[in-house]
Amino acid sequence: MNEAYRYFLIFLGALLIYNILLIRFIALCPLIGVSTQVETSIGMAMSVLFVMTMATTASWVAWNYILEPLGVGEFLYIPVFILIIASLVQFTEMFIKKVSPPLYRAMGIYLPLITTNCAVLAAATEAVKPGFLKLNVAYHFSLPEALIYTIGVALGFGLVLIVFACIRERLETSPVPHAFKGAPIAFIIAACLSLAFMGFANLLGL
Amino acid sequence: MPEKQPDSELEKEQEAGVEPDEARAESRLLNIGVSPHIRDSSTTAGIMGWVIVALLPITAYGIYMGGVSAAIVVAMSILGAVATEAVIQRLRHEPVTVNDLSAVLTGLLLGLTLPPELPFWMPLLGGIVAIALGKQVFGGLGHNIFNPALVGRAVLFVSYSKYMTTSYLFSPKAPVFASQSIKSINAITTATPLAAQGLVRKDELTVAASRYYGPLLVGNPWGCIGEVSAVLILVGLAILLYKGLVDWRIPVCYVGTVVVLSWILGMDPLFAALAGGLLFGACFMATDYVTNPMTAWGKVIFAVGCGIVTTVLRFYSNLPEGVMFAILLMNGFTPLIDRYVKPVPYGVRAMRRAQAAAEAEQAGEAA
Repeated sequence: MNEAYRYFLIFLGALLIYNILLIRFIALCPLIGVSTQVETSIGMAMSVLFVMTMATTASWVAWNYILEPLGVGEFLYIPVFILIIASLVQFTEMFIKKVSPPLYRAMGIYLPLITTNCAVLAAATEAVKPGFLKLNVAYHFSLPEALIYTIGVALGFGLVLIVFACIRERLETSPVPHAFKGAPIAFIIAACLSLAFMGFANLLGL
Repeated sequence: MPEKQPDSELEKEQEAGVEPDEARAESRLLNIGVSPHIRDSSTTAGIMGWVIVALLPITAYGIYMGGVSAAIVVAMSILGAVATEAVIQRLRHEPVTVNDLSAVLTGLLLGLTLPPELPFWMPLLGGIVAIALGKQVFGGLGHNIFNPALVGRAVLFVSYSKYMTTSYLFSPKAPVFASQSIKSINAITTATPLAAQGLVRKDELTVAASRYYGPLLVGNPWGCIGEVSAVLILVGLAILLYKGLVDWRIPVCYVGTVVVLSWILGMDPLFAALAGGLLFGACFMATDYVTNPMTAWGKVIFAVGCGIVTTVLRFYSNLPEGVMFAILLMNGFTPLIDRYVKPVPYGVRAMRRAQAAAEAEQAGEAA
């Protein structure tokens, strides 16, 4: 397979075909929690992109140069990856608090929650640990491939989050039935968007 | 605060479960919207009625081609939609607005995108889902994000894909597999009959496509009920355009994008425009008032996006037709487009021109 085409497949697969939010329903708490305002969701998307890319890079190095050679990867990868992600989130949090206090306040509890955002751990694990990947393009990613994959996942997360926030902002003034206000209508929107994304299933044989 | 009073009364009435008819009538007078306003005698029922009139030729011909079962499919989806609308509005203690014909239109659109040979409860379920999940849950007419008829069809499509993709094979006028029963076929990985005819195999297509112009234009027995004749769809579109009910940009840009991209990818362009659900989707589904962007450029972006997704799905996925998914996807992107493609406020263009003229004058003086 042509190298550039391979990268393209990895990116597209991560972005649309196996979209982390709409097809695999990972990371639902930020999808429901941070999507009430577009500005907040853009901030969330950016910080997830940053944290995810860094986390995958660090996890890839840790896996290939420490865990795998020592033969402890199979049972230590989760604690090690979580540790890496948690420190990166702390770093991001301090950075945002310093640079943009309003964004920091708007994101509230969800910023530290990136630590436990399953999407970050999922992306890092899939991109780094062999055998976890759904895309049948490779068994084990090289570092550039892992990075392309992670950026695809993060952009897919960000795209859906922002689209979702726009929809929810528009529905703000709609007479949604009382019982469906808030999270229920958000899940119904997610289901409809997910229906639309199902059209991408098996695109390009992925 | 005296201004707050009507509001709190309205709330009290709503809490008490009383139908606030008078308050509602008053709020209609105090309709607040962004200027400029145009006062017009058009009503929801009038507009919906004209769209239904535009759909009548294709409906009649589709039922003629599909037989009694096609009539049952259309009737059942309309019944499902209208009944659901009435029941939900009754449950919500709202005035029942079935008379505005919007639920009838949703049901009709849904029925026309279904294959003619379906068990009767399937279009009924589709109509219920379309109104309940596609429209009422968002707050009713004008608040839905996705095209309700397409939500209903998508739910049916992913739930009963076997029926949705193979049952047309057994319509009385379709020659394919006519001797077998639906149970004997496990799966055919196609969604449109055209693919079953082996048309979408690209190498064959450029050679043989022109053979199918005739059937596609005037009488194609393999399609969904509303896809039987491109000519009648265009007649419907002409009625809508004549009455000023739809924006020409959406059908033109949508079909245009698909034609150009298909031509680049090596498919016969006219065939690409006529085959499958494209014309029906572009003329009647994508042009839905509520679910596409407000500004002219927003509509262009929306339509081109639909065209790109449709072509990509047609060529590179297992589905031979991508119109439904493409329109649903772009419906989801509509609030995003509306947020970033904003109309220029009235007077700003003139102001900019004046500014530019003044600057040019100054520059001229300086020189």
